[in-house]
Amino acid sequence: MSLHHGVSLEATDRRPTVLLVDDDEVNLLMTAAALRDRGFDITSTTGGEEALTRLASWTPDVVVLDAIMPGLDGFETCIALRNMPGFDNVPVLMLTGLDDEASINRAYQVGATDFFVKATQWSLLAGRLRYLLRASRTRQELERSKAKLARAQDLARMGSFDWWQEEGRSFVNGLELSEEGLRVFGYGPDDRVNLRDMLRMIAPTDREPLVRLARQILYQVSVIATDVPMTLPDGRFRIIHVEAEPEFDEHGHCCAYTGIVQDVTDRRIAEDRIRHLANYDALTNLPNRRQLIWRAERALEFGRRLGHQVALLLIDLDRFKVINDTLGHAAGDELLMEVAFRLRGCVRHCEQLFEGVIETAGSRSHRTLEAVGRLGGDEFVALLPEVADEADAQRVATRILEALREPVVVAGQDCFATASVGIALFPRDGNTVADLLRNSDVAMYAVKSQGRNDALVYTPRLAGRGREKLALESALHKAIERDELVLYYQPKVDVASGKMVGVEALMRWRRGDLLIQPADFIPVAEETGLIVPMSEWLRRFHRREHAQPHVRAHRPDRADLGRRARRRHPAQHDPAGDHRDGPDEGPAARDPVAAPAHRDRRADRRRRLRHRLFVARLPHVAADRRGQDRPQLRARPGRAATESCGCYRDHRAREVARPQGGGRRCRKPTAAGRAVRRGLFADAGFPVQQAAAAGGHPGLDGAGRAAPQGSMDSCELQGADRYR
Amino acid sequence: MLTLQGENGRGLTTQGAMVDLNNSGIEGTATKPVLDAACMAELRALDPDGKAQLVKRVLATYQASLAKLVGQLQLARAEGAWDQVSRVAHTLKSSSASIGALALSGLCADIERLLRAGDSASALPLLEQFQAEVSRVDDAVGQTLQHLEAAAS
Repeated sequence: MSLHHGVSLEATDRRPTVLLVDDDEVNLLMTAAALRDRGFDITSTTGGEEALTRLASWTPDVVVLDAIMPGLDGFETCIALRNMPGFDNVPVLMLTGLDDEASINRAYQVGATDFFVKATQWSLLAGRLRYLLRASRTRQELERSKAKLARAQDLARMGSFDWWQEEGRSFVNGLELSEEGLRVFGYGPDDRVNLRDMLRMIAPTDREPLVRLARQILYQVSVIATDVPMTLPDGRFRIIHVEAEPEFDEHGHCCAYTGIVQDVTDRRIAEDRIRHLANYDALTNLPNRRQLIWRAERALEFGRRLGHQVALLLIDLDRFKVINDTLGHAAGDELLMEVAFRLRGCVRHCEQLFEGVIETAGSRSHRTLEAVGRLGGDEFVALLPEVADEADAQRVATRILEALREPVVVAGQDCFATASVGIALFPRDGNTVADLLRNSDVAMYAVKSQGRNDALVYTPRLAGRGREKLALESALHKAIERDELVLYYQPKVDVASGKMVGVEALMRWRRGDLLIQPADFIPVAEETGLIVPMSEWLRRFHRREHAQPHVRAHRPDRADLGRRARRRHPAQHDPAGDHRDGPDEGPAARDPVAAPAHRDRRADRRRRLRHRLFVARLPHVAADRRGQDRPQLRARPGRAATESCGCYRDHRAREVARPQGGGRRCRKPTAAGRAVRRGLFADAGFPVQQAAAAGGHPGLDGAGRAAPQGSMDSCELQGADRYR
Repeated sequence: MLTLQGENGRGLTTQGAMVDLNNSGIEGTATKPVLDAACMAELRALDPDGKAQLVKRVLATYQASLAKLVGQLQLARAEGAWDQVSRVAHTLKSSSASIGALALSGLCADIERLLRAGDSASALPLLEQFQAEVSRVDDAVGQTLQHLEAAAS
């Protein structure tokens, strides 16, 4: 109430204001003079009534009242003043006679702050007033910080308490809670609560351990810090945090505890939620990767100690992406939830959240680690913390495959969510969780490549194959980043006229000093999906090339590169519709949801794309490693440029081409109905980038301009650097 | 003499005033001055340079209240309103002490104490003394005021 007052007092340079009330005008005059002289701002009045009138509109820092006055005397004035709003804490000094003990007592009764015997010792009076002012200021500050504390405690749902030993009784009976403390338990400020009431709010199952804990704490005189679940008198369930420290008497004996109680329910709920979010997958509510790995690590520890085997089953749904792509993510999520539910039924799934140390009560406690979890995406893991042999694990895998055999109804449709399961056993297949995960992954991929919907136990044989592929895969990733892919142009020659009618671009991979042929890296690119960025790279390259004005002017009559490099988005329908030559084509194959056994459409597409991109255009002459179905074109003896990049000069030579074997493939009717041959030379073209990087080509002049030779008029590579 | 006040400081001036008051024709058997010198000095000390004319104002106020209070006291005494007499005695006690009229202040204190104890009979002779002392104090105050007026003009 008097907060504003306290703030104004803090201005220390201000003279404190005093209301002086005395019917003795002589004394009033002298006191006023004396106090003014000592730095006070004095307002004088000669009676109680007048003083109260003044106070109605003004609050002095201190009031000095003569006790004995005619009319309203000092005591009555003090009572009236204390009843005025805002005056309950203004210091009041009562002036009394020297031997007037009755007045002194009465002064305190009516709420005077202090008394002073009337005398002419002005310095004493001034000193007393200053003391009163300082005390008042301190008190106001205290009130303010008390109010702040109360507010802070209220906001924090916190209150303080004292717990002490009552005279002649056992230790734990005296209990007093602050107003805020009472509020924590839902009590009003006037309610009285004892320890028995408190204990009654605790469920019997929690009560006994708590009492035991309390005894121990009291015995050891240690600090109290514990959370107590309680059901408050109004029926609310709350978690109350109790924290207290012992207080000691002069003999050093613990005589009391003082501390705080705090409602931490919300915090605890939030913490539990955070812990749950950190350890469980939000969609399926299964343990997530983190929790699963933690469990697996504990399981391995147990396995190591007790000498048993641990199995890790990696479960990857087959063609989940198809469902996601065709039916939408919501349907995908629905499917995952159903699969999670089924998988949970396949093991002795334990929901309990583990963190830190698990209690090793009993030798079989590691069994509680058993769970199925979601690693992410459509990958699940079943952890079997103790298996006798791999047959055990296989049985669970079979159970899982069985469980997924039934169609799942998602978005009103039956979906077949089969899975490929890879099994790895500790310690045989790995000593760490990472090893087991990797090896189960290898086994799982083996299942995938063998047609899915099955389970396989890991064997090192599988790994050897996998490792090689893995190395190639990661190198290929980097190939794009490092710009190791190169394009080779290969001239196309009209067989009839011997004229070159265009070029085709072929991709090679310059891996160190090696030039890797497409056959060695395209399958991997296709499997890993790297074919997509590779195609994009090719397309970008082609677009740049066609942006060059002179190239547009001299464009070959067939824009093979552009058309063939066009990457088809999985969602797009093939506009040309001219690639339905695969054995799996047909309506059934196009609807993997209804016919999950059919091959992945996207894989088909990739394969077709690859086909278009590379297979049909690999008419190596000398270094053909693809067998007799390749077009075998021979350069005229003596003319064949076998040295790298020497082909250009020889384009003018009219080639005699003789198709061999499956040469049909390379014979494509042009618009004019002419047969066109490609790839006349041993190294099947020249690298576009290299030509530019070298600043010239054997066939280019110093400016990088193509030598105007032979019949290359349809594909002059003027300013080859522009192809970059 | 009062001109010395500003120049010579309290001791001398007080001495002078005291001498002056004692020689100012107030008859009395008391060897003590009517107005205590030390108290007057204290009063003067409240307004050392005399700017606020505090001494003059205090004495004038005292004189006025003395006349008023004595009137009230006589009226109350005639009516036998001893409470009222006691309260007036209380007020006069402290204000007389303030200006150094210690004899009067002492009388007032005795009267107040006796009356509060209900002993009006014992208080009566004191009230007679009180009357005499009041006129002595009144004269002394009046004279001091005259001196102050003279010095100021």
